[in-house]
Amino acid sequence: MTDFARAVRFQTVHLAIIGLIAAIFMVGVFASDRFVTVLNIANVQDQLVALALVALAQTVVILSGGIDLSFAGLLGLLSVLFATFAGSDPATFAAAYVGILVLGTAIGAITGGIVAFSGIHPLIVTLATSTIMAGAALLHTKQPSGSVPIFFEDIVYARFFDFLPWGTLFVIAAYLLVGFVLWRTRFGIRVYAIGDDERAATISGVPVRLTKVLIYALSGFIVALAAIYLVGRFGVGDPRAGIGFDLRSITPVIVGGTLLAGGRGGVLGTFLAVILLALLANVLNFLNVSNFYLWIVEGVIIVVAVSLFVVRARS
Amino acid sequence: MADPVLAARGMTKLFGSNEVLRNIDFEVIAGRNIALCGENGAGKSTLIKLMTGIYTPSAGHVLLDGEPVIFAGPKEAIAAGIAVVHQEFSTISALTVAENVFLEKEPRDRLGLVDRRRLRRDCADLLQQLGIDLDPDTPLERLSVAEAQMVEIAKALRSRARVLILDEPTAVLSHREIDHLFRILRDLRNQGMGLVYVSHRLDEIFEVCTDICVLKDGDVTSAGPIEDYDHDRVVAAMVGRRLGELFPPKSGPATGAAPVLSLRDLKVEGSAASVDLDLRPGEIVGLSGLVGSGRTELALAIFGAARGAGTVALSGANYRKRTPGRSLAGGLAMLTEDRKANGLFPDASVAWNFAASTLGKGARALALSPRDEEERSRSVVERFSVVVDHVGQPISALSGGNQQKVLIGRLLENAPKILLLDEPTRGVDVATKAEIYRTLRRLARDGVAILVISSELIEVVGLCDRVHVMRDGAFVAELLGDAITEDGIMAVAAAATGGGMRPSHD
Amino acid sequence: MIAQLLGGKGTVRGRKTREILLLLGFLIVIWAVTTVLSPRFLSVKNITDILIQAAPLGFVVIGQMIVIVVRGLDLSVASIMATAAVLSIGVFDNTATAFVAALLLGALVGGVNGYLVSYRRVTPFLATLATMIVLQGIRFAYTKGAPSGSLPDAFRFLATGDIGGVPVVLIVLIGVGFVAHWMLERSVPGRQLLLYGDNPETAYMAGLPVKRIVISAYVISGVLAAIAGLFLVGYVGIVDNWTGQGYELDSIAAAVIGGASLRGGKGSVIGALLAALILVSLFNIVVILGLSIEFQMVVKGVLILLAATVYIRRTRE
Repeated sequence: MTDFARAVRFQTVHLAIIGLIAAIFMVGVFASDRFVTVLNIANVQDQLVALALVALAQTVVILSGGIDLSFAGLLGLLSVLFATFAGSDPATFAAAYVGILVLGTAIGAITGGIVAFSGIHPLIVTLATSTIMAGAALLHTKQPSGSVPIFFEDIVYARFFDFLPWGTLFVIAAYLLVGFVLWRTRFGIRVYAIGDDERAATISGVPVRLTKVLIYALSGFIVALAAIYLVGRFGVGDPRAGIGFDLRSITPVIVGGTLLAGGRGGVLGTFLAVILLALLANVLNFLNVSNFYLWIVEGVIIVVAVSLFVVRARS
Repeated sequence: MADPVLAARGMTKLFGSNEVLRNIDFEVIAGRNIALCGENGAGKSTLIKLMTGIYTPSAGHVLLDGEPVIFAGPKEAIAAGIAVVHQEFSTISALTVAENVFLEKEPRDRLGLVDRRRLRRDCADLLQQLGIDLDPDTPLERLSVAEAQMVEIAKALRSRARVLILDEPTAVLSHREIDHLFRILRDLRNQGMGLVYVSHRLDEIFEVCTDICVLKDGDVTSAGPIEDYDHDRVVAAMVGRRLGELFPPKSGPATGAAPVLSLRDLKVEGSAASVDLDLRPGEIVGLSGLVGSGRTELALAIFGAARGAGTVALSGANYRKRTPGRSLAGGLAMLTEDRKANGLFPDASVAWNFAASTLGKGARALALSPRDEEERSRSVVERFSVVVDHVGQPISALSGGNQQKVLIGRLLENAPKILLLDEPTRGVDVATKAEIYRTLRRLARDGVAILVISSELIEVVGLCDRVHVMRDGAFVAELLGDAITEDGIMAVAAAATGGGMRPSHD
Repeated sequence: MIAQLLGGKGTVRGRKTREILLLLGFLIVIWAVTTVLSPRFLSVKNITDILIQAAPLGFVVIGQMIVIVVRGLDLSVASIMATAAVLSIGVFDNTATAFVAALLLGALVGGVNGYLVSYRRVTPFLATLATMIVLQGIRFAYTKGAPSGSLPDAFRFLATGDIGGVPVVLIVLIGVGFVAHWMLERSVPGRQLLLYGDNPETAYMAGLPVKRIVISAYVISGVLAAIAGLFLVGYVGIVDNWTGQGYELDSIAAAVIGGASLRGGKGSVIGALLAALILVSLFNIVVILGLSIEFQMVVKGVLILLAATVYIRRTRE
C-alpha cells in the first residue's frame, strides 16, 4: 500500500462508489442532452456544498465513535445570527463572519465538553443542544430574515470557467485540510484511537476528554462555514435552514465506508458519497422521477451499504 | 543487594470496606527480575496499579530511588521510567504498528506535525533492537494476539524505561513466542533494567526470574531469592494448603453405561482435524490442550453456539440443527469460560440471573412469579453458600466466586444430563474451587456426564476420570486412571507440539 | 424509608422504584408550580387536556423504550405515524379496515427494522434511519406531496370523544400501558427483552430466542407508532405528510428521562409515561407563562440534559 492510499484511508468501497458515479453519470448523459451542460454541472455542485460540509463535520465525529445530531439547531441559529449581523458593508460583514465561526466553534466545544465530562451518550447530548438552539433561533426570528452584502452573494454565485463554483473549491479545500489533519497531526491519530477503543486509548495516555472537546469544536466550526454559505445562497437567515441536515449528514458518511462504531474510514469516502448522492438526485430529476422516490433510493442505499460492510467485517 | 529503583512501603488499599492489600512491602532492583505470584484476587494487579499511579494507596507510599513519590496518574509513572505491560491490552486495532508503539509520543517536525517517515523509522529501529520482526505499517487488526503482545512490549519500552512491569504476559502466547519473550527479558535485565514479572505459572517464574514475592489474600506470605524456593514452597505460600485436599475421591471411568453424548467426526469451523468421543453418565472427562487448540470451539460446537461439521448424538439420537436453546431443552448445558462476556446478566439481580434458566425453550408459562423466583434463588444461595445480602442485588455486586456459584446453580436448575464446563473455576478462590469440585463429583455420582475444559493441569489431574489431550482440533492422546498425571499430560502435549502448555499450580 | 418498604436498599427493584418516585416527585413539583402561576390550572378539564395532548407521545414512548431496552433505537416512529395515517386513511374508506391496515403497516415496518437489526446486523440507528427515509418517500410519492385531506368522523371521535366522560384515547392508552407494564415486569417475553438488553451474548448462550426478541421489540414499537399516528391525526383533525414530525426524537428523550438507558437492559413503562407527561406539562407551563412557544424547545433540551445527568450519576454510584 502506498503512503497516499494510507493517507486517504483508501478502501475498496471507494472504487465501488466511483464506479456507481460513472454509471449514474452515463445514465444522465443518455437521459438528456441537457445533462452535460455547464449549467447543470454547476447546479449539481451548488446542491452539494452545504451537505458536503456538514457531512465532513459528521465524519470526524463518527470516526471518533461519537455522533452529532445538533446540526439542525446549530445551522438554524448560526444562519439567523449571521444574517442579522452581517449588515451591508465589508467591516460588519467581516466581524459577523469571524464572530459566527467563533460562536460555532465555541458551541461545538461546549457540546464536546458535555459529551466528554458527563458521560451521557452523544446522541442524547446533541439532541438536547439541537433542540435548545433551534428554539433559540426561532425565538430570535420566526421568519427568514436579515441580509448579507451583495458582494458576498456574488462570491457565492461566482464560477470559475462557468462551471466551477467557489463553493466547490471551498469544499475540496476543506476536505483536503481535514484529511491532512487526520493524517499528519497527533489530534488525527487520537480521533481514530478514541473511535476504535476508548479504553485502550485512555490507558495509552490519550487525552480523551480534551480530544472530544476539540472534535466537536471542529464540527461546530465546519457547520458554521456551512451556515455562512447557506445564508449567502439564500440571501437571508432562515431559522429552519438546518432542518433535516442532522440525519442527512450521516448518510454520506456511512455510504462512504466509515463505520458508525468509529475508528474506521475517512473523508475520501464521504466526499465520494456526497457526489454520488447529489448526482443521483440530479439524474432522477432529469428522468422526471419525483424527488420523493429519491428518498426511497437513499434509504435502500443505506441498508445495502451497511449490510455489505457488515458482511465484509464478518469475513 | 543494591538499593531498589522502585519500592512500595506499607502499601494498603481499600475498595469500600474491602481491604484488598494490607501493609505490603515490595522492591524492584536494577538488573534483577522479581516474580509477583499469587492466586487470582490475591492483589497482584492492585499492587501494580498502585505503583504505577493508576490507583492511589489508602495507606503507605511508593519510593523512587529511595525518595517517596506520588504519581498523580499513569503518565507521571511512565515519565519516571516505569513501563508497564498490562494484562488488558492497550493496543488499538485501527492503528498501525508504528502508530500504536508511538501513540502520544509521535515524532513531530518543526511545525508540530507528525513526521510519518521518522515515525516509521523509529519504530523499525525499536522493533529491530528488540528482535521483533514486524512491519511498522501493518494495521494491528491484521496481527495475531502474540504479535499484538510484542507490539505492547515495544510500546512500553519506546522511551527510556528503568523498570518494566509485565502483568501476566504469557496468557495468550505459544511456547516459541514465550521463549522469544524470555530472550528479550533477559537482555533487558542484563542491560540493568529492573523487571517485575506477574504470573502464576511457576515454571516460567523459575525460568526467567531472580527473586519472588508471593501474595495471598492481600498479604505477602513469602519473599526472597528464587534459589531458596521450589514449586511446593511457592504453592504452599500461594494457596495456604496442600492441593490434594481440594479434590474429592474419584469414582473411576464408567464403562458399562451407554454414552449420553457421542461425537463422530466432529470438526469445528476452521479446523482440519475431527474428533470422536463418547461421554457416559457418571464420568468426568477432561479436555486438556493449549489455548487455541480448539477446546472451547469444540464445546461451543457441541452446544450449538458455534458451527461444526460431523455428528453429535444425545443418548444415541442424532442431534442436528444445534442451538443453545435446543441443547438446554435436551438436557445439555454449558458453562462458558468468560463469565463477563457471556455468562452473566451484569445489571440484573441474582434472582433474575438465576431464573434466566427458565426463559428458554422450556418456558412453561407466559407469566412470571417474582416470589417463586426469589424463593428458588434463595434455595440456590443456601445450597451453594453464596455470599449475598439479598437475591435482589445486582449480580455484579458479588465476588467472582459467588457469581460463579450462581451460574452453576442456574446450570443445574433444569437437571441437565450432560454438562460442558469451560474453565469452571476461573477467577475463583480456593475454598470455592473445592466446593465446585465436590459439587461436580456429586453430580457425576448422580449420573450426570461431565466434560471439563481446563488450562490448569492440576485441576484436570485432580478431578477427571479420563483425559483427552487436544491439539489443532484433534485428540492426540487419551489418558486413564493413574496415567493421568501432570507429567503424563505434559509429555503428550510437549511431544505433540512443544506448545505453550505448562503445569500450573494454583 | 419509603424506598426500603417498596424494594429494599441495594436491590435492582429498589433502584427502579426510586427512579419512578423521583419522576413522580418532579411531576408533582411541576404541577404545583403551574398551579401557583395559574390557579385555574388544577382543574379536571385542564389536566384531562394535558393527558390527551400527551397521549400520542405516550404510545410512541412505550415502544421506543422497549426498543431501547434491547439496545436499539427507533428513528422511524414519526415516519410510521405519518405513513400509517396517510396510507390507511387514503386507501380505505372503512374506518375499521383503515385502523387494522395501519396497525399491520406498523407491524410490517417494525418487522423490517427488526430483521435488519437482528439478521442483517445493521446498526439500529442506520436501519431505522433507512426505513424512516424510505417511508417518507413512499408517503410523498403516494400523496404526490399534497396533504390527503378529509378525515373520517370516526377518527375524530377516537381522538377527541369520550365514553362516560373518560376520553377514548386515554382508555386506550391506559389499556396499552397496563398490558405493556405487565408484559415487561411480569411476563416471560418482557423478561427476555430486559435480559437480552443487559447482555445479548449471555442471552444467546442461555438459550433465549435472541432474534425473535429483537424483532418483537421493533414490531411493538411500529404498531404503537401506527396507533399514535391515527390518534394524532384524529386530534389535529387533518392528515398531513409531516404528522408526528419530531416524535422520534421526543420519544427518545422521554424514554431516557423515564429511566431507559441507551446501553440497554433498563426501562419501565411507568417511567416512560411519566416522562412523556412531564414533557407535555412543561410545555404547558411555557404557554401559561405567556412565553413564546419556542421556549418549549429550550426547556425540553435542558430537561433532557438534566435527566440524563441524574441517571448517569446514579449508575456511577
